[in-house]
Amino acid sequence: MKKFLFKAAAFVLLQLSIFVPFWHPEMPHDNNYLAATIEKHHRLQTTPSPRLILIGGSNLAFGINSDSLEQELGLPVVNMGLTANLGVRFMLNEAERKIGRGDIVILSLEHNILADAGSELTEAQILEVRPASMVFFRAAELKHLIDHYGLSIVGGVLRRSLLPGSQRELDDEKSVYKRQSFNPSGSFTGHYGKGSKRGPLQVLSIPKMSADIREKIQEFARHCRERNALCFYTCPPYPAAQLSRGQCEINENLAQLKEIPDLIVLDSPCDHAYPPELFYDTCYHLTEQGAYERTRTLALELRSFLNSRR
Amino acid sequence: MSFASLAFFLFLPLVFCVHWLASNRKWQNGVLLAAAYVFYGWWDWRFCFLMMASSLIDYFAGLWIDVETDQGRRKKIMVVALSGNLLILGFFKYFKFFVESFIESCGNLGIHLPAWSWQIVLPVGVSFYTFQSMSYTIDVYLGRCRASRSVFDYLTFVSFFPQLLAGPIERATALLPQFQHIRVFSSGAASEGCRFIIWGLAKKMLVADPLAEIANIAYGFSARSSAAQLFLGSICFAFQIYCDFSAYSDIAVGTARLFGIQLMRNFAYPYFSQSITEFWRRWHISLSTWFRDYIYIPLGGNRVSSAKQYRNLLIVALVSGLWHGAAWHFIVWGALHGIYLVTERALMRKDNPASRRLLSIVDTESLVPDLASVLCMLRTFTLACIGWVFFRAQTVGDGLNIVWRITTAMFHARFYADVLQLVQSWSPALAALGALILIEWWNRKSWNPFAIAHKPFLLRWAAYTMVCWYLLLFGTHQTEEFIYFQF
Repeated sequence: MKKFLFKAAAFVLLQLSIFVPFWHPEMPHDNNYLAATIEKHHRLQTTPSPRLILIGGSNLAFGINSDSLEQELGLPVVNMGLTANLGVRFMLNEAERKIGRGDIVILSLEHNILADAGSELTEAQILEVRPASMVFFRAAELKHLIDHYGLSIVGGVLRRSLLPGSQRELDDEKSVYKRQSFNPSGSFTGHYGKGSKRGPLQVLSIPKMSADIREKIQEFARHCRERNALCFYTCPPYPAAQLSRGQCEINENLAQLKEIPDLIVLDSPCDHAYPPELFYDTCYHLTEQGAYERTRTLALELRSFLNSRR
Repeated sequence: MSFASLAFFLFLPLVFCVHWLASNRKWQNGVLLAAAYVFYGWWDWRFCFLMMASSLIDYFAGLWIDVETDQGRRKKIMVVALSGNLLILGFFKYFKFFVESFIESCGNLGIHLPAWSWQIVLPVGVSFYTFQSMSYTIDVYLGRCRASRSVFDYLTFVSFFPQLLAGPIERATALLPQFQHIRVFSSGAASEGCRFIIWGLAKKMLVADPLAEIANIAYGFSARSSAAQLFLGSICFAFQIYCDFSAYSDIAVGTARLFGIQLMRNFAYPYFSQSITEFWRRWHISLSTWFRDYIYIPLGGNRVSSAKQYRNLLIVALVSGLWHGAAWHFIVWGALHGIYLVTERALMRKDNPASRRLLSIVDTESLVPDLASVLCMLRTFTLACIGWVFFRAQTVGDGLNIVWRITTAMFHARFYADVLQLVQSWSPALAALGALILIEWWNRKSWNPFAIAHKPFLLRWAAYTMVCWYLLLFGTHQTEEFIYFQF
């Protein structure tokens, strides 16, 4: 028995000794879009409070120019926006424990993600690029991910470390969807100067907010108050022409958000409705010009609110 | 919990260590029993009660049959116990099918009944453990084994986790005594077990799962798929189901050996068979021998007239089809194999030297088989593939349509060009399949083609390391559930 255990342990050690020299937690050779989460978390951990933390999906990555916002408000910006597929609960959990005194937290959640959890595949991929993010899932969600994608996650970690560039995801050569396309404060700038793709903008159906997500946002806003931070909600950008299609659900969801005690709703969907030429490729991704306009509007809204409090 | 999952790789070493730390046989069985219920309950804990109920029916029936001296009463107890098991199986697996078929038949006769709206969830592995449990009662009745006095030993036998979900379906005569005697750790057996596990995982993750992609694309939208896609998809499915299911059996056998338990062989290179009769001796051996012992032989087996033998063969084949699933396309698959078997039985008499060759195992003497053997193997594989089309299709109509489209397309040169193009586009998966066929052919004399215990230490460890890394880097893109879990 001892002999067998010794051999098994020696075999495992041998495999680890092959892997360890290639392993780097920051996966410097991985240029996948989702790998930008590593820099985002690094910035969140190293930027001292007070700061401005943006939480949401890719609408924030594409639609906020962090450098301009930083200049306008005089606060360092941490843009955590990556992809809506991660789901609201995950996005809020990512920042929750890091919120400090005096922080300004801005939520901007895509209209179509207020009803359900994120995409399992994206959740599994985020664990491949940053295994430490497992703490942002609930135990049942993590069990489900490990059951269904556990080996794929382990394999993904190994492939990204030993065979960088072998992943079959969004990182084809022509795509701007790359880790390198983010600036140091977490805004996506790879599409700057490229204008709009001018294709028809696909609009996803907008569901009503689920009680579970409403409760999570409420809990998050309360947590912000307990940490002496302010929690705001700003509507994501949306094509002006498409706004009428989901108006009823958008208004109902916004009314629910306004009822959350510690959450300050800054604006309405109309304030962030833009013409189609300001969208890059999807109904949430603004072009450089669009991002500039949205950032300016957001800065004005924030400044006006903060001034009124003084 | 699936074998090809991270959870299993954390679970297995833990159970292994706790099992061998246990001081005596009773504690060891206790560990295995607890592990089995955790393993099974991982999907849905409520099904644990079902497994417990199914097991207890046979446990108490076995005890009662054992002490009862009146033959008539013994038979009645056995019939009641088997009915209980079949009732469980029938409700979860077949009730919906029979009700829907009845409603549809009434509809065809102009009697319109309300549509069936219940959703019955099929518990994983129910057909496997129910059959294992039933065979115990029958064996006790027939006097092949004594009833287990210990409920823990018996429950451990039924729920032994390595073979719980997809077999091999073990007999009480072979497996139960292994839980009733002290088990001593054997380093050699455990190492051999690890080799079985590695080989099983390689077959599943490097061959079956990539082939599944090809088959799923072809069959997912069969109406829109080209004949070439359907042709390649059907061949890939034939190998996918073999690699997937035999991989499960290999991992089960390997895992069992880690606990000092010997399970039966379930696959013996079935696609090297030279006849369908031989195919069934090499494919899902534990199920085909179960049907042979508990259905075919009680019906008269080979001791009856030829006509009755054919009838018996057809009954067993149809039951085998129905065992796989409550759907007409599985029954057609079974019927098709029944027809193959009856035809072979009718055409090949054992006293004919040519037919004796066709009933023997594949030529083990030379590396390259003779042309006649190759042709026989190809014929058997083609017949098996036609069966797999119905097995994989959603309906009998779909199956017929696929066979028709492939057959008619074969008369056009374009078909072969399309197949070649598809082979090129799927070359990595098909290359892995080619490598597997070569390795299996090369090692067809041994149970496990990865049995390299006799090789030098460095060579062995290099091989283990290479396979493990190949698995981790290239076999983990997408892991599919084992096909036979649904049965």
